[in-house]
Amino acid sequence: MLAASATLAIVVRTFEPQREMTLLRAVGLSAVFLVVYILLDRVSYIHDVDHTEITAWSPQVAFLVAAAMYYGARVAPLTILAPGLADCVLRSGKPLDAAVIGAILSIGCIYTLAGILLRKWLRKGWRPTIGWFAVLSVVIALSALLVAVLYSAILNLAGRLTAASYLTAVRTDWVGDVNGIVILLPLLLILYFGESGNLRQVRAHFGLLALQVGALAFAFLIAFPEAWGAPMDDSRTPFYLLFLPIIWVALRWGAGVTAIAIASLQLGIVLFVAEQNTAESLLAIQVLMVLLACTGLFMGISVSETVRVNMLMRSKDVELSNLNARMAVSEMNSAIGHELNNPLAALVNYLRSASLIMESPGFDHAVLQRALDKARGEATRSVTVVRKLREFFRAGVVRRERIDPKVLAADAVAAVQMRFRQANFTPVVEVSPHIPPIEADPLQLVMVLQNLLSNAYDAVQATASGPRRVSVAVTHSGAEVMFSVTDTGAGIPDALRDQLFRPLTSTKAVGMGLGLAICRSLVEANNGRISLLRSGAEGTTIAFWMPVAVGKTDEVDR
Amino acid sequence: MSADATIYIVDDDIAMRDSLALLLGLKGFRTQIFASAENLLAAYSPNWFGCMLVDLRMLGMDGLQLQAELCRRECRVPVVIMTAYGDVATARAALKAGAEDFLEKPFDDSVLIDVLQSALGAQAPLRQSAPRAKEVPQLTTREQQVADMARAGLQVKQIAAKLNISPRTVEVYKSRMSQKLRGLEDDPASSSDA
Repeated sequence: MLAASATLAIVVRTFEPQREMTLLRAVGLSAVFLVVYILLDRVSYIHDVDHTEITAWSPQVAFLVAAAMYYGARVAPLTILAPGLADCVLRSGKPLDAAVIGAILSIGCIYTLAGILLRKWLRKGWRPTIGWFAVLSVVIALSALLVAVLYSAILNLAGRLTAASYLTAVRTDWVGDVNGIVILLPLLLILYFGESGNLRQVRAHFGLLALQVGALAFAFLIAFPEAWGAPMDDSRTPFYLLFLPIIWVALRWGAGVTAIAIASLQLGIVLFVAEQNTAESLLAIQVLMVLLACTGLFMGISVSETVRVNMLMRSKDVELSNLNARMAVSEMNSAIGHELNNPLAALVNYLRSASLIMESPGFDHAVLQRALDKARGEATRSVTVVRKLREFFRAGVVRRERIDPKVLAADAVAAVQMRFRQANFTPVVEVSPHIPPIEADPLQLVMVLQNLLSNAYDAVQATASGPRRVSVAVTHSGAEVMFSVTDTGAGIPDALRDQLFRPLTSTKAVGMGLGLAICRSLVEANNGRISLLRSGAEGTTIAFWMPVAVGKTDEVDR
Repeated sequence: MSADATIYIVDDDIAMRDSLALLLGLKGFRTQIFASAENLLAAYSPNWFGCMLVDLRMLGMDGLQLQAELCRRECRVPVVIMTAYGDVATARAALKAGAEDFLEKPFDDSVLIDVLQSALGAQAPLRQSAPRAKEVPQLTTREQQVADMARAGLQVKQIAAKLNISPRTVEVYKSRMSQKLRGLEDDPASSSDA
């Protein structure tokens, strides 16, 4: 076995040596590949047609396609010869004539080609899409048909397969290969490339997942009474019950979990159902499984795509609102600069002039009076500007919406992600289960959280040593939801604590010290409160509390 | 200060230019005020001597454009830029384009007088001698102060407090000094002259 894989690996390497892969690694990978292939071939060897090794379930061929997809043409010697090697190991003692060898080689050749054909879809950051799965299905259906027709034809010509069994052999081979590939290949790809988002959410909703597993198991027992010894229904009508839990899973979680659910179902069939059925009825089950897999995966992939697009749009939204806020601030800055600094500068000049006039011997009172009048005029002008500015700020409208605190935390973290990434760490988000919705302006609260996160980031970056951690926690007690941001920075000096949320208070080398003051106004404008929870050498926690939403109104303008 | 030196004030804010004229008049400067860059250019003559006090952002031609136009006319009167915006980037651009100094409104009259004295001092030798071809860049009085304090280990905010100017202005001085010193390194001929 090992010798065979080593030889093959050497062939593979010489076939296309330019990509870096050590010989040892190539041998190891090839050996693993062959072992998995042969094991699957052995396990799936159930009810073959007329001793031709054609069965209604061939998961191993999915590995041929996957290997060719991942490594390309250079893996061809391995994938072409693997079926033959498996046959030698598993079915030794049978005469090997030219026809059998040719038939077996044709399997490897066709699936390798199919894999190479599908290869161009596999790029960095691959994600399952509807288009990709459609192409995959068509390519797999056609290549499996080609394999089935060719393989059975060669066996028939060699006299190993009677003409009467020919059609059954083609049908079984086709269904078995399509079933094996359609169920296993997407699973391998999705697990390998990692389908973010939904798969990660699963952990947070363990109860729901358990319910779905229960539903799937229940449907399985109804669909296959033979699994628990009950008389079975030849019509296979109960099978359709399985569509419900699979669709449920697909709609809730997307492609990743659906692929796992379908593969588990197939495993259940192999373990508990296959032996109790005749070859004919197993074939019927496998056809239904192909339909179920295609339905579930199409739905799951489309859900995954929607979720992905939504997340992208939400992060773009947050980015845009940040940009708007920043532009508004800079616009405000220059407006204040021009409208306020000019009268103040003139005021200073007039007052200084007035004192100079008074210093001169025998000064003219009328001249002094004029200078002072002008000074008063400029002071009045400044007051008007300040009043206008205050009116402008007061006019800022609070938009009330029911929001999910989880989403709020996620949005804020998404908004600061880029900044954190530069320092190679990400904020940890801890959300307690069953957080009720709150009623507030989502953009304003995201701004608050974002500001706290930025402060935490600065604090952590400013400390030279020790652990670097920033976390956001969302918890719920009574009629309030608490958001807290904790960092492992050096803490806030005692002298500053009392005035922390007052304007122009800052521990930083740069900045106006407006951040926390603005946070307080925003939180209070949304009927919440904010305070320093804890600060010391081990870090700082700042928290704000928002009242839980009441009633059912979705949007209330004030 | 020279008796014939005039401070040419350009600001589109009427109170600003009026108060500056009053203050500088009381301080013994001769002043001339203009409501816009265009007005100044219309009145401009090559015999002008003194210093220009130019607002950065004005309707019509702004301070930088005025400076460029004066440069084109080979005007040797030093230009001090004033801004109400505290806009560091623009201030840097102004200094780079040859402005003598930079004032952030509102400013203290002692700072204003310092800046004007140093600008007038920079111009004085120009009148007598031929145009200086390659000269070691000289730090202005305020740049020298900032440099000394920075060397003493003071932070930007502390320097700003001591000199009665904004931290942003200190930043601008620092960047301008490093620019001058870099110019010195780039050109070995000029350093050997020293």
